[in-house]
Amino acid sequence: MKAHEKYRKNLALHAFGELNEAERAELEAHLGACAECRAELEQLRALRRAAPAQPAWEPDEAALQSLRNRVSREIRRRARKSAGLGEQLLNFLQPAPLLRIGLAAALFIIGFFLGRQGLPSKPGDADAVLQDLLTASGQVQSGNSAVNPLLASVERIEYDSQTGKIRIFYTTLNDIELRGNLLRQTGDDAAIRQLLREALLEEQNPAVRLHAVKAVTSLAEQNAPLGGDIIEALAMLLEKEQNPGVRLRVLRALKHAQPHPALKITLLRILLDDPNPALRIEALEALLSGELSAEDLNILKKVARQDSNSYVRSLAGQALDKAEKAPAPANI
Amino acid sequence: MDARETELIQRAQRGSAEAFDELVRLHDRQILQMIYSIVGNRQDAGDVYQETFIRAFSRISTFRFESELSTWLGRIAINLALNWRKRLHRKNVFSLEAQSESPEDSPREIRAEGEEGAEDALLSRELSRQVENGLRRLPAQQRTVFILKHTHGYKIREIAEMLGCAEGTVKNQLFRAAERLRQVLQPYFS
Repeated sequence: MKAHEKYRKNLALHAFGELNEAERAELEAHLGACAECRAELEQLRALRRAAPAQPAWEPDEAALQSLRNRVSREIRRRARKSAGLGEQLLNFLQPAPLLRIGLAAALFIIGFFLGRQGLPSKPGDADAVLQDLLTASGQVQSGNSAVNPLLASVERIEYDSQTGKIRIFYTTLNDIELRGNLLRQTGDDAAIRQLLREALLEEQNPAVRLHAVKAVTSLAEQNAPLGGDIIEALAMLLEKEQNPGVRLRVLRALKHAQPHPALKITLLRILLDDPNPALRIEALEALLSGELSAEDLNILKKVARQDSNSYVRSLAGQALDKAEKAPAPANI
Repeated sequence: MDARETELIQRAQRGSAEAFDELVRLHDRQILQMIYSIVGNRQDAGDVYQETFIRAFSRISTFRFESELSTWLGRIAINLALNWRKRLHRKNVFSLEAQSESPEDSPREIRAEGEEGAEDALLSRELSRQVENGLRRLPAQQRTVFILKHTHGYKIREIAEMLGCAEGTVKNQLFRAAERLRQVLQPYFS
């Protein structure tokens, strides 16, 4: 019994592969003679098989990116503060990743421009170029974006001693303006859509979210395709937005959207759970603009029977009547 | 630690936010999952994640390359997550059971049903449910040690580094956690 007690802790460590060679050999010798320990080890192994072998949550890339953006903004804010820059500069730029990509592109162009100059033959000219770039005395145009660079810190220098060319990469505090056309989806306009998606998910500034929703609504009303990424962002916004006015606008935009799995789940959830009847009506109308599966029809039956709002019940009933007259519904 | 990561750390230590962003991307999925396994809901896991990396950025200059960066980040994350749990326990509003994902969503269980007979699958599901309930009832440190070891596959030495305690302490906690969970499953072993 005493020997058995001595080995009990090692049984657990053995089950987790944490014994060294000598300890393992000693324990295995004991196991050969002790049925109680063998049974206990088998139970520990059964426990390991039953315990969760994978993390309970596999976060998707969008969730991670949103968290990264929050961290990125905050550390830049702190870095600027610790660099002793004036408090007023802190309000200038809290770059989302796509803005940073735009900024990086702009900086690359600036670096390239500097590199193309080679070593300056006339120091006065070089000073003037740098002065323009660093003090925002001139606007830098790059494609359809415009940048007013304000130096924050130099990040990296690449210098070729053979040719004398130099590339300087620095970060700036500045606003970037990007112009585009939402009705096109190519080139820079795809980037505009990506920025719009970021704006829909902007956490700090509700006005930015509202303007993004307005832009998307107008796009949808012209029957322009919204694209899966925008629809996903709208579905996420519906889940987390507190302002019912903004949610209503989102639902109106979604009436014109193409079917999307993320969207359907969100609409059904609003239809079944949201206390606001105006939102339930919009969710139902958005749902009815797409194809209904057999499962959707079952949910509609429940809504037609149980919803507290008579208009919602009536709308659901009409949709069911229409579905009964139509051919058999598609399965999910 | 590879040369690229070393270079990124050195740049981050000189204040480069871009380099730190890349380090975050390298490690954040595992850190977030680790935090989630301690705090038990996604929103709070996100808040602790943010605090973890902001704190890591402010302290990156103290990183001495004596451990893996993932271990160093894990230590910050675990301390913050455990403190978060303590605070909520004091406020008496914490309920892991209510906030955790439904066990029916677990891919492990879905796989079990596909591979085994219906009876075995039911038993397997029941055992898993019992273990998950048992895990929730463990003291925070024991639960953390068990999950870091079993689910995340860290070595005892690494867990000791993360928790800032001796390896012997980690072994004791792992033993106690395993023992309590084994007792939970005892009725099913006969």
